[in-house]
Amino acid sequence: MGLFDPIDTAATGVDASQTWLNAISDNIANINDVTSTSQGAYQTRYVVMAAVPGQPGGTGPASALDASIGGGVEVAGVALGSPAGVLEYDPSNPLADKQGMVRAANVDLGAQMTDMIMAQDGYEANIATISRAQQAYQAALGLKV
Amino acid sequence: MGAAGAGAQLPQPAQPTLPTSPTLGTGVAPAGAGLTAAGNGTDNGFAGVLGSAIDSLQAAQSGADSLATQAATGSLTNVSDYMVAAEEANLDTQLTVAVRNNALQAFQQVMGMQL
Repeated sequence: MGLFDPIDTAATGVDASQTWLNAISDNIANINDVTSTSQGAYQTRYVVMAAVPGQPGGTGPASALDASIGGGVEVAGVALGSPAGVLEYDPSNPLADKQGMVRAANVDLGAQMTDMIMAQDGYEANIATISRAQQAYQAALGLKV
Repeated sequence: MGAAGAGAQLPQPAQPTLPTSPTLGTGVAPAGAGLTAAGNGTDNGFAGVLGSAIDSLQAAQSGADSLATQAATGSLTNVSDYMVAAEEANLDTQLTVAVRNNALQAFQQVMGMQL
């Protein structure tokens, strides 16, 4: 494969972590959404991660090894939570129905905050991988022949 | 070698790597053959090797340049994309310069040889 595989692989992790952070910020931004009971509530966004299979690179036995080492991670898709939400009694809301009920988003803020910590840590860990790979390359380039 | 040994101890996903392990022992000779084959494919001389290295460096730098333009115009969606491209172009430049310096050093040693 390429010359900078560790950097490219870690970059997929950075991208995936950023997509996860995007989804979490969307969930937190919509945490107070309210709709009428005839409509679905805001659906929590869940990012689905999947491993990227390795690709055989150049020639020789190293090619088979490249294929057995994966190419990082990718966002396979975004799963949506239940649109049922939470029924709340709020007769002063203009969206309330005859019984005074509205449908509020059912976003678990605690789960989103812990997910956010994991997404941030994942982002920083992959950046650390890039940084270490860069240091390793520069150590090789500093070799005196 | 050590990496292959560690891979063999992994559970399910490492199973496909097992058949590759015996071929690992013969890895040095085919890799050398691949190098000479690659050299023949482009140019036998050092100029061809350095030329193709500079071509790939040019590609990496223009890739980083276009991402820098996106960053300046605000159409960049991912900060890490630009940083990674710039870092790879930087490392590629250092590698090309190191190859050029070492080759020049070897050339000068040959030219300075007493006959």
